Amino acid sequence: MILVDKYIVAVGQKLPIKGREEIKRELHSGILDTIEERFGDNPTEENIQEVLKEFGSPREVAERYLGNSELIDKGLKDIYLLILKIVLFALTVSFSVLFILGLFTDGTQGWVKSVFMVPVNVFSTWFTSVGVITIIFMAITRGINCDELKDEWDIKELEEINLDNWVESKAESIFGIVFSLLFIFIINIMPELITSMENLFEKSTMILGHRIDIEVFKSFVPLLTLITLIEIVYYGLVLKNSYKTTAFKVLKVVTAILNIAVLISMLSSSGLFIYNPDHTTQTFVGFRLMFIIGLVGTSLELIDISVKLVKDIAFNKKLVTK
Amino acid sequence: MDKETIYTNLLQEMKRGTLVFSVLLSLKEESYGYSLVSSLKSLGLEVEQNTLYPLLRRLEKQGLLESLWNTEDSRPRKYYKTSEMGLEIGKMLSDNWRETNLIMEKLIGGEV
Repeated sequence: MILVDKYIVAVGQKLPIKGREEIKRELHSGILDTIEERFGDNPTEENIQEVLKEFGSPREVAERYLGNSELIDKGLKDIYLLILKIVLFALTVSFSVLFILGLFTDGTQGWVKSVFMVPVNVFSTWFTSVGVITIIFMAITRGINCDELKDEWDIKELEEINLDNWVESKAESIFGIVFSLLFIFIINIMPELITSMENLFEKSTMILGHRIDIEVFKSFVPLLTLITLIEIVYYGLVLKNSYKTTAFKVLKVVTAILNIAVLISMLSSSGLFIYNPDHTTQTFVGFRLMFIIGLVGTSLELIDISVKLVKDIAFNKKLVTK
Repeated sequence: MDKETIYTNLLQEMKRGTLVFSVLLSLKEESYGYSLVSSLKSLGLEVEQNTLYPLLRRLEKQGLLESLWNTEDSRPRKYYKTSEMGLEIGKMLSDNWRETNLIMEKLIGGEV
């Protein structure tokens, strides 16, 4: 009974992680009992829909388990706390890396003060992040409540859910969030790290074909930050729901297209790359090569997600016409 | 608000108030969600399943019910039973119910 499974998944989406599986299991059993009692062993699609409509919208069912909504929706609390922990972890790693890099670039002079400043910087930045994240989650909670008020549930909404790939790796999402936060942190707070990496590269035997002009790079930072923030939302949603819906895949396609557009724009930028005058011809060795690898990787990812998306849509169409 | 709506709302409030009490008394014998809905219905007490399941979970968290998954049936079912504490509270509520009932009878009698 695919429709029942989809309904259970839709309810589960709105429940906190703790106790979610138990509730889903019990609800599943209860719904099947009702269907069997009322329509026997071979219910029609209409029979199943009738019972599900009686149970109510997935949000309504989840709300009854959650009780009254609070400042931050109870269903969002797990992901809210998880993101706070991930941000704290990412900041600790970032400031520790900065401290270690400082030892190499500035020497060991004043290192005691630098050690003391690591936790101070971590917590002061974290408290600011907590404020911003809390405001975002409060806004999401308000959005959910508004949504609740404005529309009535339609059983066709379940078609959005694809049961093919619902269990996704949590590690992938957590890694994605940590990596994205680190990326935002580096490009916004310390873009000069790019030059430091280039310096480190030149200490090896290889010679850079070009260097990045940091001032020109900074003009791409707002767009790169925006795209990465969208990706964090995507990973957060996947983490919360434990599977990817068609809507999530569309979001991923959008971010991949935006990423490709920015990478092409960066690669074709005339001022971003300062070519090494020692080279008679322009070479790709340096960040330009990394951008090209990134472009190829993102393009392949886009093709992969697009194929999955088309399959999803075809699957849902088949379900509707069944 | 018309008379019918006011009556319906008051009736719903009254029923909601007695639902927990009814569940505690009904689950002296262990039962699963759908079976409990059916037995309460046969007694004349209509309960929506999407109201009952969260209630059972809440009462279990409060320690008034105990539960066990039975995997021997045709499908796994979560069985609930009133706990020791639930039985004690059920007894206290029963005593109070009788007292309240006497008061209500007097009030109703006086009204008629």
